[in-house]
Amino acid sequence: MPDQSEQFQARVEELVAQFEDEIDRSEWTTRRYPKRFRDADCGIREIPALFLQKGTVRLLLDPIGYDIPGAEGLADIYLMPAYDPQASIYFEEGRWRIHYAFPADPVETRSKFETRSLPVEGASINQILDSIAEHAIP
Amino acid sequence: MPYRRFDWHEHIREVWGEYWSAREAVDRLRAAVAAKPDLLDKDSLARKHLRDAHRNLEGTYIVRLFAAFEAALRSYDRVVHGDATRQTDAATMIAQIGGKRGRGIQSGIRQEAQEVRLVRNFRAHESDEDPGPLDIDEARRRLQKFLSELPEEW
Repeated sequence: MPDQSEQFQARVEELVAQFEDEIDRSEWTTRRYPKRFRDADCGIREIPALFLQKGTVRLLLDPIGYDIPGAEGLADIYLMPAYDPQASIYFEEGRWRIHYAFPADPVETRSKFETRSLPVEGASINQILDSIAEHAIP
Repeated sequence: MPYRRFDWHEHIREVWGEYWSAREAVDRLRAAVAAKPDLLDKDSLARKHLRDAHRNLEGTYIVRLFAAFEAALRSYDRVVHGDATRQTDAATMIAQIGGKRGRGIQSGIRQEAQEVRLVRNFRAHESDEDPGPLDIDEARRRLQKFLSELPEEW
């Protein structure tokens, strides 16, 4: 049976592959980066991080760890190069879910940021990445 | 084994994340003590210490943030000069270090990092000159942007 660290590595591989498969290739380019990940017993293993680019907007899908309160795994999406946090992806109840605060609708004067949790799939990946890109200040 | 810039970015990001977690904890404890002052009655100084922790938390973490940034620059500076014991002060490294592929680093990016250094100096009591407000999010942005100008490995 795989330990937590191996399991996290496998889950991140699956997440990164899903982003690569589902992302709108007419808009985005991607590049993997082998991140050195230090697990709880100080072993080091390489797990993939993923750079994503659309025009001048650069994002990083960065796996964070498995020893996260209330979840079995976490990866964050950052706006680069300043590392501004944009969205968090938690492994919860057997699947990855992406948490993102959708910006307020400028037409709807009373609307506020609305944080939603969506399953990681093609539609949610592209909806959220496009929203981040639309509102990003690189 | 070469140093990887990504690892230094990661270190800065971790320090910044620890700040926000500590901030949340201190804010929640302050609120709880305000609602129930005898919560900390076992130590007569505990409420004063909580007030000080609240006041100084961000500065403490900006000092740590800059220390991580300075360690990254020092590592790069030593490799570039082939001298593992070289000691260059932070101001000089920010002013002189070159970017990836032999490119220079924009003066604006250098200036923004120097301003974070002045905040660090003030917070670490190395200077009496108040450089003005600069929050930890802005400090993190500036230092990460500077680092991103260095090569991926050295």
